[in-house]
Amino acid sequence: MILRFSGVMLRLVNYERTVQVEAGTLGAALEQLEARHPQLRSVLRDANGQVRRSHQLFLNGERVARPDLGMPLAEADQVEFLTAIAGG
Amino acid sequence: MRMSEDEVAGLVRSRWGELLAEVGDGAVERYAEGVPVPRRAFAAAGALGLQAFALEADAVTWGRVLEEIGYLCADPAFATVVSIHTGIAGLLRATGDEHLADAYAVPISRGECLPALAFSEGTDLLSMRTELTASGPDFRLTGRKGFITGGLLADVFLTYAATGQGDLAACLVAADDDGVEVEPAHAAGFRTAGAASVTFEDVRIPAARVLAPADGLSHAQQYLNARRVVIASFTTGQIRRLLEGTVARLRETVRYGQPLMDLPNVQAAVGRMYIAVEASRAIVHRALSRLDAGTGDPVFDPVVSAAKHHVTEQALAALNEAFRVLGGHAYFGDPRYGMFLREVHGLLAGAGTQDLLEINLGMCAATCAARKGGNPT
Ligand SMILES: Cc1cc2nc3c(=O)[nH]c(=O)nc-3n(C[C@H](O)[C@H](O)[C@H](O)COP(=O)(O)OP(=O)(O)OC[C@H]3O[C@@H](n4cnc5c(N)ncnc54)[C@H](O)[C@@H]3O)c2cc1C
Repeated sequence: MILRFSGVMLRLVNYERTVQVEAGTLGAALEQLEARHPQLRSVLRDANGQVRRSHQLFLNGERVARPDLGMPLAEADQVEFLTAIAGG
Repeated sequence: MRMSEDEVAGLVRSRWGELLAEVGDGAVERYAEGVPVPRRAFAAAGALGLQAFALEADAVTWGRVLEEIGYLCADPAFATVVSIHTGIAGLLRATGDEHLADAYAVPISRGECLPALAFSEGTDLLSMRTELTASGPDFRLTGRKGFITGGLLADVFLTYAATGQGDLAACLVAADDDGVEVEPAHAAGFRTAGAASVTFEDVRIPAARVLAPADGLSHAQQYLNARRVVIASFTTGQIRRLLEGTVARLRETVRYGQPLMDLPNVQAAVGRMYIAVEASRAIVHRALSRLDAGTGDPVFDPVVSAAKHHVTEQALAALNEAFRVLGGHAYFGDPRYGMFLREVHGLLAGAGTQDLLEINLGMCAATCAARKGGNPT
């Protein structure tokens, strides 16, 4: 499946807007992604390994409000991380 | 049942109208000298139940109250600062922690304890340098924060600091804690808002004052998301005030035998100001309704951000119209126009820069374009 990034996250994935991985679950996909881009992990996930709330996750264009690491993923799926953050 | 616009306007006038007039009375002089709204104004508001009202009201009602405060109060900083207080009190209450509620949220709601947000530090949000480190049962805080609205008035700061694992924590620091130094910031605007910077030098933070030990970025974004529509609410009231003041002046200014207000080009300018008010009210109301319904995203809601962005641009556009049709009066004759001009320019950067909000909204729209209907909301 394809993982997509934009905005401030691009720096952490070496400015690759899309990253292709092969995994059956969200957790496995993130492990593969982080093996390639280790600096991503602490920004994307909290100490329990869950995706931080400041990153909105979209599966094939649909918002997944509370993404579970066990969420099954198929080969044709597209997972997009939208990191819309701003100052005070 | 929710109060109508007229009922909210009546309530604000009857309960807090006198106080707002009093606070507004000294605003021009304070602004010239850079003196913040007096602390006693917040205590008086607390005694009249304003902050407590905010904590009980739904978002639409509180937003309308703030619009009225923005409209009625000649000191633009009052709505800005009091709404920071109520926003932080709400956040503390929402933790469900009795200590935080009793020690901070309740005194804040009475106007007896004044908080401020110390988030920015001249870095991007993923590179903050202020540090919170564990030290026995407590923590130590070291760093520096700037651009803090209401910082000179603050008894307590809600601040965010790196914890070492690429994470941020949120904690409360008292202004009189050892190692805390508050300095005035010389701001281009918001000169009655008590802008400050604060330095933390190895400040001891008891564990009970750590609100969020991890994922402070999301914590802050939730506060800031709600803050954007609050700012949009009182700014809408301030545009209304600008429109009304402009019309009053145009009616009494006679040129070549007729009031300026009777000239068609002036009427068109005032018409554009009116559109700015109504368009602002519409988007603010929609954003507030989403907060009440729980349909918006709590961390970054596109409609909320669009509201802050739109109202800021409308305020700038309305000011531009006012300065064009009022001639030298707005520039030399009445300092309140210049005050509002400076405040609104602060909103280009404050509460999320306009550019960053545009980028975020563009990303939201692009992400959702694949979905049926393609609506980011
Ligand atoms: C009136 C006012 C009140 C404030 N009150 C408070 C307060 O109470 N507490 C507090 O903590 N802070 C406060 N702030 C600070 C405010 O949050 C910051 O000024 C704001 O977040 C912008 O950060 P910055 O000043 O570092 O600007 P920068 O981040 O340096 O931005 C400068 C420019 O670069 C652009 N930019 C930045 N990052 C990106 C990016 N990733 N992509 C593209 N463009 C980018 C911005 O859009 C902007 O145009 C206040 C600011 C103002 C003006």
